[in-house]
Amino acid sequence: MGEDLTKASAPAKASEDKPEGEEKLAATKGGEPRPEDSGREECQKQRDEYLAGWQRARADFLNYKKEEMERMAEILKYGAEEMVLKFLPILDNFEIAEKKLLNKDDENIKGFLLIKNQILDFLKNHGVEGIKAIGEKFDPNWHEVVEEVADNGSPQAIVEEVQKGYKINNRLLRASKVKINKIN
Amino acid sequence: MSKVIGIDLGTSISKMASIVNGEPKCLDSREGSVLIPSIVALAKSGERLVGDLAKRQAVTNPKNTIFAVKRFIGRRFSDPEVQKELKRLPYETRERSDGGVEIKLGEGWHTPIEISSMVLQKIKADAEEKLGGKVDAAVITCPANFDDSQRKATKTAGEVRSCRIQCSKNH
Repeated sequence: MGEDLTKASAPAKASEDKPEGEEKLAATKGGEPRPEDSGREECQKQRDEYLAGWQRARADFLNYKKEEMERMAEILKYGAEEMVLKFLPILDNFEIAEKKLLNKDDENIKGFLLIKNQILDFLKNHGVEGIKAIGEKFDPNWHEVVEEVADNGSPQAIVEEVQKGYKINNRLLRASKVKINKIN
Repeated sequence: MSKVIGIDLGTSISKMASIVNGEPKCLDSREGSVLIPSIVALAKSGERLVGDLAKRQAVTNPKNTIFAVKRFIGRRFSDPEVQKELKRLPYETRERSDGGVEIKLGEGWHTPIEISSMVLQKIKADAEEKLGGKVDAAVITCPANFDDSQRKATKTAGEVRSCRIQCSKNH
């Protein structure tokens, strides 16, 4: 905004440079102000105000345009976030159903799992990735603890994932809900 | 250029806003959320966590996860309201020599003002990151039923983190 506003200061200087004819008129009257001169001064003052106002509005518009472009870029990158968030419970149900399956070699079941993979591929193409949990060390940036359990693994290691977490373009979309190993 | 922010310092959730392009706008935290839990924790790794990160580990670390300190701000330990609240809390508290409340976080004891200032510090840091400039003044909200000592304590909490508190508004 700074560089544009410097332009806006130009009208102040313009008002100092009186036209040649105006100086001559003032000289003929011996320095006494005439009614038409005061009217002209008023007009010039208004002109300067309007010019400065226009230049400021133009600078503001250019800045707005720049910020709007940045906002649009942000929307394009993360715009899918809302939609994906609403879609995640459907994927959660796929995960739950998959866990309950007994015979994964069945052709129908394989088809069902392929649909799940298709959804995951679609999300991956939109920058959505699952957060690694089981076996990892608990990190509050990505995980949310729902329970502490006694396990033989290392302390604070994730032993069970209750709800899968996701990130979009490396930004957290939903933290994964996990059970971690107790610190003895 | 330094910026001014507005902070709604809530008992369980806080929010921040600023004037962006001439319009008031709520700002997101570093975690990408407009709502910032007013929670401070000392993780088992020794790291101090504030906001969403503190909330995510609360289940495993109840003794060192401090929340709802606004209820103790500017109040005496013997206050019946404080005594009622203390029964529900998992973290340790005690009476200070001046009659106020003191909360245990890790090995140290902190006043509610200090805990609130940790929340405010996080809000300020997030706002500076978001606005791309130094924040040196803030307007912090106060409930209409806050008395003078509670208002002063809230103001002090803001000033602890080198932030000029312009005024406190009722809400």
